[in-house]
Amino acid sequence: MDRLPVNKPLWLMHLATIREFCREFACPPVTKVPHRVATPDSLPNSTVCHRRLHHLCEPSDRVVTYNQMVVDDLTDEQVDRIFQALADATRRDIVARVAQREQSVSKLANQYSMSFAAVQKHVAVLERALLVTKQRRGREQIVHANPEAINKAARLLDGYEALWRQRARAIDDILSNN
Amino acid sequence: MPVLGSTIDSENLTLTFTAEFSSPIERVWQVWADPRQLERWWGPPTWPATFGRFEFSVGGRADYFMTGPDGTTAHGWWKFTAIDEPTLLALEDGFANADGTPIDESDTTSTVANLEPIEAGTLMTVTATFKDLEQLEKLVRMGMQEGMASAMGQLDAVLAGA
Repeated sequence: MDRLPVNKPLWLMHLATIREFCREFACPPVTKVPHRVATPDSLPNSTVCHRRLHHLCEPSDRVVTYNQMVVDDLTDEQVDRIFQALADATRRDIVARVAQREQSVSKLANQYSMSFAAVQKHVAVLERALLVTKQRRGREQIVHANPEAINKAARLLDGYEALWRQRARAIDDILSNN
Repeated sequence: MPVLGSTIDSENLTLTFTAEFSSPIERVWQVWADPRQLERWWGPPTWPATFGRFEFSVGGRADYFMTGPDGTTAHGWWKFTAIDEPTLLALEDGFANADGTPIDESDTTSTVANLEPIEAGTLMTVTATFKDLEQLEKLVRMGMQEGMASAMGQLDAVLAGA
């Protein structure tokens, strides 16, 4: 259900958007240390973890290293879900909002000119992509961002750029060897 | 590090990548024009490329395959769309079947390399234009096969050679 027509402008918009997410939201306090990013002995030290996350945001040499590790954690199905979930402007906006502050579905619904049911459906798509989590609190359904998944998506997207970085190094190697 | 930067232009659907090399422009042109040199950098480190047919003229085709660590091969094809030695090379890059025939003739990435002589050597600007999400995902996944050990090893090789 809800397979969105994926088109070029949306794709590149979300490429740029997720990069921004990564930069903006990966570094504020993260309560959960991303899987396989931090070493076990660094787990209790949240500062270290934040700094590591920050490195993940930078298009540095080490990104290539993390790409492999992070992407290995994702199944094809998960990747598809992340791409599809973020190929819609409303859903990207929802992720941006809840990444700043958790929000109830009804509060989110007030901010869009669409029905509560439609917003709920968008949230469900994001939930399946693991980009957000939903929690019942009394009569409200509270939506939280999942920065870990957002990071994974951003890492995947940086992969193409990383490939060109490696190519440039290889060319440099060829040039300096003769 | 030769890499100067990269930008994403959502209006024109492109990724622009800029790198600087200390060699003269004619020398940098050779890494594109000579298939034996291309083979040394086009594939990710653990997926070296092997070029077969290489018709280096406008409208000409090139066939290549990349071999992974477990012997798996990934085939691709190019069609040269513009060649202006030593400043401009434009090509369409697509996925191919094992026999070299394109899987989908229209499913290509456009790649344009511009070379410019500068005081320090040569400035190379590569502009890649994507068609859609699936295509980029496929490309990213291939790029992902690189593996961290070889990436770091390659970096060491560059530094040792410098």
